[in-house]
Amino acid sequence: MKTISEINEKIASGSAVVLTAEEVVKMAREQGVKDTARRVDVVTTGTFSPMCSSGAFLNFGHSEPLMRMSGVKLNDVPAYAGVAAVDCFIGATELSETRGFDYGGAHVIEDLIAGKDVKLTARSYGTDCYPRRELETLIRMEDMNQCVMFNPRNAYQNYNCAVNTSDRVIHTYMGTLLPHVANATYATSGELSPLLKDPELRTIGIGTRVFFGGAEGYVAWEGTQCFPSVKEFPDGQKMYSGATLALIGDMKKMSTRFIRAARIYKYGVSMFVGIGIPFPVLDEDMLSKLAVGNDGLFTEVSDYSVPVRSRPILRERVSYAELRSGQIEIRGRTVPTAPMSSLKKAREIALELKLRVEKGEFLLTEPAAKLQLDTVRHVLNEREVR
Amino acid sequence: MRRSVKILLQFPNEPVKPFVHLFAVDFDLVFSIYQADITPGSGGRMVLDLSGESENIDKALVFAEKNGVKVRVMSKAIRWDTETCVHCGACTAVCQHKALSLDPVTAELSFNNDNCILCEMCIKACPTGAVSLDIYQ
Repeated sequence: MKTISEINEKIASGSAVVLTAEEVVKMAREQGVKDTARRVDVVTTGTFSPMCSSGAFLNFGHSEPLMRMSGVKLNDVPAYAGVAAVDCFIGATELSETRGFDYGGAHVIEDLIAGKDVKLTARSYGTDCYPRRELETLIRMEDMNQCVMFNPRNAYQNYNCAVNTSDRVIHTYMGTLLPHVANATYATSGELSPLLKDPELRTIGIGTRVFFGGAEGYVAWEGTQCFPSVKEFPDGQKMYSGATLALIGDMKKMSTRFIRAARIYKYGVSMFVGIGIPFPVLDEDMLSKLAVGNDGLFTEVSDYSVPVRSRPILRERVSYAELRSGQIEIRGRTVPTAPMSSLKKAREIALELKLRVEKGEFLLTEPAAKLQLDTVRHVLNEREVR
Repeated sequence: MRRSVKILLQFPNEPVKPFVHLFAVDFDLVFSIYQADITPGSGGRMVLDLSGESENIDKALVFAEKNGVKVRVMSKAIRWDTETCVHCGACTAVCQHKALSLDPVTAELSFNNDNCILCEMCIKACPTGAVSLDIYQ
């Protein structure tokens, strides 16, 4: 048994043993869970995937004369300015009014992080205290006040594998799906995926420090639609899914290495977000979960040609080892698989986080409060408007 | 010496000879049609792979040009910008001939021109705009 503060003392003294999730899976296989749990202090994870529920709060600073900005657009992408005078929220998936699907909020965010000039336009109705009515200017992130990325739903614990049983090509947020189940896509980094490694969120809570787009970020809340569930198969294997996190972090410290805009054909704009979470090896139980490899992590295969809340399931269980092999069996046929999230980047994040922890630059956190994980799943029940 | 080339034929809007047939019969070439979009009265285009004796390929292409068909030889199939690419793998989902593939060890994307059939689906499937068309010699 180790506590988080004991682990932090080891990190501070430079004696902590830090492994990436891939390294710990290998070590536990070779040396056993017991020995590995004793020797390893921290395990780092990583994911780099399109995460639509993302965006940033920006504060532009006041113009002269003063203006209560509304109708704010950044490079022609509308931002929500129904907050105070020069605050706004730019959502990752909002589309440009002039370039449509080719440019959106995520591109604005990427351009700001890259240090580029972005066109800000705003209008207003003019008041005694905020008389100005129109504004058009170039801005850069370094000239702004707070730029805070706040992503209401990130780091999905597990996502289904997508196929298309229809007879036409469909374009989805899971990529281009070919007719008659001719391909299958998936979007989780498997054994590197943060929330699959602490599946019951034992060590994650409000205030947990994470690697977020290259900067330090924090868990702000449970993510929207956070409905953790576990399915147990007859052979004792478990499939965890449903947990999500709301993350917050300083966009000014982020890097385009770990935040990138994504255009998803005939779907819209999304944003690749790089996230890594370091986990404390508190005991053998914690390590045994951190050491589960791709062959022990599962998802299900869903039919994306049926656009309903509960899509038909074509296969109840497929392991990430099978998905990574490049092909899976679906109803007796061999189907090629492809990821939507970058394993190369996920590895880069886990390694970068490992180095930061080893150097003592990144300490682990005791959560300030628990996340609410027993929330009831609601669907939208439409009612007649009178 | 045998070789193979990928070519684009652009047909005029008036009737032309049955080129694919003649390539095979008169020039002893093996062909494989990747794309064809030809409308009577408005011409069109065809992308195909030709293989055979080097000399015969050259002769066949001159013959086509002389008979009103514009020929463009393709060198590279697509351009893949390694700077912009995040190696997500979304393009590999639509690349049925495995010209684009992820290395099972390094998880890096690689492109093998020989396998590319110029379907162009990867261009739309790429979320970062890292793949573009750059096909002509």
